[in-house]
Amino acid sequence: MKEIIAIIRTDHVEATKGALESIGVKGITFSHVIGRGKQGGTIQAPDPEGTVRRDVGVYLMQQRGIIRDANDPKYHVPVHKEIELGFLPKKMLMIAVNDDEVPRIIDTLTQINRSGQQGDGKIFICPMTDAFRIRTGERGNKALT
Amino acid sequence: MSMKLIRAIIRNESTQRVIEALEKNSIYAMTRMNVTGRGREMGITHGSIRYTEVPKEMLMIVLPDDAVTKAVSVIESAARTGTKNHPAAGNPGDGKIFVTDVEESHTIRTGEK
Repeated sequence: MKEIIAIIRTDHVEATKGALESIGVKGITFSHVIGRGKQGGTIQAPDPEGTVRRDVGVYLMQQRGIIRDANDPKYHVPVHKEIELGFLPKKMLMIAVNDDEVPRIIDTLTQINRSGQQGDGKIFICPMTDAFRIRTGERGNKALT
Repeated sequence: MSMKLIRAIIRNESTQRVIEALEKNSIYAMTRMNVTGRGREMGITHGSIRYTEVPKEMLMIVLPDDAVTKAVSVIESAARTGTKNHPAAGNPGDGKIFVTDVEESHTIRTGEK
């Protein structure tokens, strides 16, 4: 048995639920969390022309010594008044499944939630030693099906 | 590379201190959630009123094995509250740190393992 912990964007929750249902995953526990990734949060820059919304962590990364020069043309983004977005709301899914179902679920989760932007989330797979169904007292794999 | 999941259940008021301490050790990635819980003391008794669940904050951090010991000691020293005379004494309710195994970790954006 494995425990899959997935941390995803809140606006992808409905699509994820539907996709997981279609591959036969029924039991899921959701919780509301806040989090940030290895970039240490992100900065949202106001765009004067109102064309693109940019998520840049470069100024934050410079402050924290991850990159040396935020003004490097490689990183350069016109920022007039920056909004620091530290911990952002996310949804955490916990799914307990049998070992053989894990790859399929990972594929589905990755496919549905990938937008290519920072903040798409993470999936962790942890070992689970036992499971019980409280109503009947069944244990192990039987409790999961 | 194998990894560990650190779940630290700490006081709400010490969260900011712990996060800053982790940032100093270049640990930025974490998930926070509000939880309620109790420990050996079975909650708090204040006068004649008994609170069986106390609000706490849970931090979830996944790290490679070799970084875990350091992170745990950083969280521990930042989350420990002291008394007036003994700043490093610690009080009941300071929290717990649990470390469990993580077998795989996927980044959704890129799909890398």
